[in-house]
Amino acid sequence: MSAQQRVANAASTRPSTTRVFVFLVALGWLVVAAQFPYSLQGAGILIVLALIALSVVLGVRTGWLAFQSTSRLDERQATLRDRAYRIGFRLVGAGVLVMFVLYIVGVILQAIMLGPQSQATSDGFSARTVLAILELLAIAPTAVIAWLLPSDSEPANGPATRWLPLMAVPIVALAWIIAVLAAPLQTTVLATVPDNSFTMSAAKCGHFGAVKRVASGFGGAARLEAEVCWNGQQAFTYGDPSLPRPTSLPSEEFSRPLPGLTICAPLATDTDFGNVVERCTGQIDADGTLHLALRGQVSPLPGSVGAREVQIQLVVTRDGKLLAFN
Amino acid sequence: MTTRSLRPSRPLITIERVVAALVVLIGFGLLASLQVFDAAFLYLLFVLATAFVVRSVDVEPGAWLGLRLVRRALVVVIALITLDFLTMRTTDFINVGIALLVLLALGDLALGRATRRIATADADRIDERQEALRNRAHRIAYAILAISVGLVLLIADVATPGTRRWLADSLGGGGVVSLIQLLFFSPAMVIAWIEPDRIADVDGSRMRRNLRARIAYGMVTFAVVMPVLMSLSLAVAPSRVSAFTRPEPDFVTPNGTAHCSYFDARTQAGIGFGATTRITAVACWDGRSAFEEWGLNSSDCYPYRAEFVTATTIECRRTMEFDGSLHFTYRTVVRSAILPFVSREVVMTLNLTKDGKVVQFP
Repeated sequence: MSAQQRVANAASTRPSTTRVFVFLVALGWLVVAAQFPYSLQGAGILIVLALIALSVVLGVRTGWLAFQSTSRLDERQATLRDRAYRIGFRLVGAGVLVMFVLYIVGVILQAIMLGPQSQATSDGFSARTVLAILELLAIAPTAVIAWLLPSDSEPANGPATRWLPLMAVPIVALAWIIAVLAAPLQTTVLATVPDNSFTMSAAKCGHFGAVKRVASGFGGAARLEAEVCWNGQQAFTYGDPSLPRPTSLPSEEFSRPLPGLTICAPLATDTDFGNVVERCTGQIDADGTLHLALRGQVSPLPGSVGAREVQIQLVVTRDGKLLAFN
Repeated sequence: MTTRSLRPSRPLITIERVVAALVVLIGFGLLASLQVFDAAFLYLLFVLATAFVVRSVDVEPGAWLGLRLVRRALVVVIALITLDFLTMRTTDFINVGIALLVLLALGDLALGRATRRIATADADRIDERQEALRNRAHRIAYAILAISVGLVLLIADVATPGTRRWLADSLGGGGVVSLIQLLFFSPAMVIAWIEPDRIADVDGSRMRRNLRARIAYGMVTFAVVMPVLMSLSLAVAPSRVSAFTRPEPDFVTPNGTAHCSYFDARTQAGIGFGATTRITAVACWDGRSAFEEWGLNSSDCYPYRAEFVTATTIECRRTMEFDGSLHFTYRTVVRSAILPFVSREVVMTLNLTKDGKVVQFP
């Protein structure tokens, strides 16, 4: 009996084991959608592949009813499909709301657990957020149909053909590997000069942020946020004691780390799809010009296979002129 | 053999509950950002009350909205406004977005009436034909939502840093309005589009003109007219000025003893929706010159309060004359966000001589 026949012959109120798969999809979606301050530590692609596999299972078990044209369905199937879309529409609304709430909770938890965060360069959604929205849109009606299906019986016709969509899993994995190995790096830079949120006596300041993404963020990203000030004699960073301090100002003013201003580290979400190692070095030359360099390695695959080298350079003169930022 | 009914029991997640939760969340955010008893705060409360009253009244589309052509025209207008919000930047949203938002709210109100709100009606209030219609509408709306949101999101996020930036900017501006419109009103838009011309008296009796309906009409009218009237007051009502000065402690300078005063002045333009500009500063004089202690710099020229208006500083200048007197001018243009052609110029001045005589304030 095919899945569509099972829909037509709905005859039992016993919960379907298909609901287990619906539950697993919901769980996987929550892991992806949650914006708590944690990283998937490079395992993001595994969760994506698992979600695709589970989605295919749901699709097969529902006979892909959500995607069938009306002409191929009888009246009862069409009614169920349309009703599933109505409920699915509400689920999408609720899902967006849940993501919004999780985002707020994440921001609050981040502030409590990690303290003040850097003013991260605004660069759109994280890869996780994009995946969560796409998965929600793609699977909601099918998940509803799967939930409403009666107790399952094993379909008999053409198992090999029915499970062919599972090929999507290796295809997506292959596409991802090609993207992380060969796609050009994407760079976003943002310079806010002057930075009205930070002032320093006898100096002017600006905030400089840069992100370099592998595979549009689906392979990891390296990030630099720097509060750079200049006083006519020297340009210098403020907030990271490991970087060189200006000789023209008292050294003790620069002894406290302020990651909210200057930080040379990825955000938690930057490491969802790849492990990121980065390090910053700085130098104030004889002219008072600041040279800041980030060197990092983004490794989407285990064992640093196909790791991408990342560099960001920032050069600011003693009078605040930006010579290089890329 | 038992049969499984396809008719649903009332689900846990309903559009009303989702909307209510969203309204509560956004409402908390808005209320937290507003001062209690500000005009915007009170207006928001009134709009929420109006929405609840309107939703409690049964509606029939009437002769005009019963015509498919009129309904489709309404859908096109709403779709165009939704698209406009998607391309709107944050600054444009502040300038013209509120006027469009009011227009969109009116469009959605008409849409609700045109479709008798069957997209969100309880199951026991609609018949089988209507249920089938709204389920079909949700399927079509879902396809529109999935393509317009999913595809745009995917392409914009992976294409270039510029498209990512556009995505972030649009959601910081009017994009969120477009998203909410699609999430909560697109099924009604589809119903309005696909439903045939309605034959009079087929679907139900005329709307009962009971007391609640009249109150709903009155509240909607008031909610629409009030922002316009309050915006017009910006041009019509006189500015209200309040000011005071207070002595500050003296101190010694190379030229002798300096005497100081605290100056505080506020000018309110508009009633309800308007702006308050303010000078708050300490200035001193020592017989040879008058000078600023603090509060008379370019960074001090910003609106103290602005509701549904934009305040643009066109002059913020401090000068010291040859005779030692101090002049400070703060000139700003307050422009209505709802009626952008309505504006008022506000000028505040402090003229202080070297002997501490206040020639003009504010």
